[in-house]
Amino acid sequence: MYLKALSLKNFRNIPEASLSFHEKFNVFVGANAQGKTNILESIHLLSIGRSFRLADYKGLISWEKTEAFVRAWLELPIGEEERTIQLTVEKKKTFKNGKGVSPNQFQFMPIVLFAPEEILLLKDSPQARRDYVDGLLIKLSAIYEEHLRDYKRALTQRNKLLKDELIPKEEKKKQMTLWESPMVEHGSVLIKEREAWMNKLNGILNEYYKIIGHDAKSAQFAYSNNVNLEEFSTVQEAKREEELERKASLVGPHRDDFKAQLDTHPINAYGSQGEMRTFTLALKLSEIKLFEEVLNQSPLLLLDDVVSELDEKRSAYFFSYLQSYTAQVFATATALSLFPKDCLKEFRAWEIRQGKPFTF
Amino acid sequence: MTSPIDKLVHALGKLPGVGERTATRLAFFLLRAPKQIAKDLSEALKELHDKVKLCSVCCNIADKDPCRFCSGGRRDQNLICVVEEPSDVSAIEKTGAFRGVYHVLHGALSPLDGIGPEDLKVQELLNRLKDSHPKEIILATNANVEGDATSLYLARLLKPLGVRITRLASGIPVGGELEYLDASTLSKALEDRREMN
Repeated sequence: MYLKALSLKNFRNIPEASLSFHEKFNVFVGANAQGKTNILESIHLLSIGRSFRLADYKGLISWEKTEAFVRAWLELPIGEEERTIQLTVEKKKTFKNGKGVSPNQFQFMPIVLFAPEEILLLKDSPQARRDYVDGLLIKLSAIYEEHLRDYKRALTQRNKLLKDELIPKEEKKKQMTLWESPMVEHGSVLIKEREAWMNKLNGILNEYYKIIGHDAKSAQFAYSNNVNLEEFSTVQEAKREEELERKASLVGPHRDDFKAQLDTHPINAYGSQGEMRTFTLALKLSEIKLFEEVLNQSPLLLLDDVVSELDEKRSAYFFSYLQSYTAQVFATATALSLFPKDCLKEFRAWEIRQGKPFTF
Repeated sequence: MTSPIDKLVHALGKLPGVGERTATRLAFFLLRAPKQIAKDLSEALKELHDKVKLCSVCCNIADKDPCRFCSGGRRDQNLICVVEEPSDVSAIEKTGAFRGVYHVLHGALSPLDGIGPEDLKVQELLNRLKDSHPKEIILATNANVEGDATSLYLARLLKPLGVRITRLASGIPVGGELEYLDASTLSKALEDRREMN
């Protein structure tokens, strides 16, 4: 599977653009704030149906325009597919080969994004790490998304109930339990899935960390669950009083964390800057490997300004990895010279100036 | 004086899904179309609140009280199907497979929308059960988080009465092909599989 061509209209700062891609390596260069990342963002939108920078798609429409288009031609094993996303202020519409469809009728296009912000993930809040893992598992597991949605729904209902000042305590106690059974039902699935997938991921992560870092330390993105599967209902019951007091649900996978560790020491407290970068890179490569194992297919890579983030040791490994990578790659950089010559044997490059792509 | 057109546009604009442009289009349509159309509409609107009532037994919307299901003795009063909305009654009626009576809750529990048990027709259901003793109550609320919580609430409330309580099954739609089903529907159907005779 690869992206043959892309056409954009009124997307962010890009008034109009048509790009026809190389099967393997595509580079967008240019100064900052010219629109390089916007192109990656449009590809991400075509794959996942949403942006990686914005929750609300309306911000993707160019300033003072009412409508934006993202259209792509994909080469699939079963033939060519044209997919279009039309964004208007009112709604987002998706089309497959010219016919209106719901986005889940698109052939799934696996994608892995490398963004400079990701190193922050290790230092960020548990919420950010949960969002990262959820985003990954939604793509890997067929059942995860629906259980996550229903779990969050029940949780929000229960929290709202706990916060309601008008309902007497005894009545609250009665109604709290109504939302507990869906929380246990769907939450148990989340715990099981997180456990299983993190186990798989960690096996791979540890290998990559050793290779990239030339370091014998054992690297883990350890799943630290708030409650064990078998004890979910009993702990939930035991905490009811405290929950009424604190007006929030305290038990369940919504309070899980994932802890980046080297030899069981938390990396955000004890790790060096270099160790954190190596860890992040190893994590992303593990993500790719998981896709390959589960889908039997390499994901498309979106590399947003990654080269500037790598030091010599890591970039040597990363570029040799890219050279032998079989699926399509899209990268942004401030200059083409940041890529080693070996990487640029078969490629196409554009310079982006004020939202307009110029071929090299 | 406000023009009658402006007045109508303003009134129509309050309907869900109708913006000012649509309201204007509708108003001018009614002005130009044969008078009978506007007349029929205005009469239908006038009758709406005068003639539509809630049945004092099942809380369904009806043109008489008690409604056609609760009176006349043609329906099985031993079987009560509890639904969220009046439109659910129409949906079940279309099947022609249900001969019992209904109870309409007018919503589902949802703290997010500020809806608690006292906002639903729950007390009406309890009052009803004081006089009559049905054999079975079918909880036919929606198969989502709120519908399930509402059913669970009712099941707990009604259990002491000793009546048989059932929940609508969820799973594969008739004529549905497995490959097109979403994962959770399919796993629900697997869970609720039954013995074949």
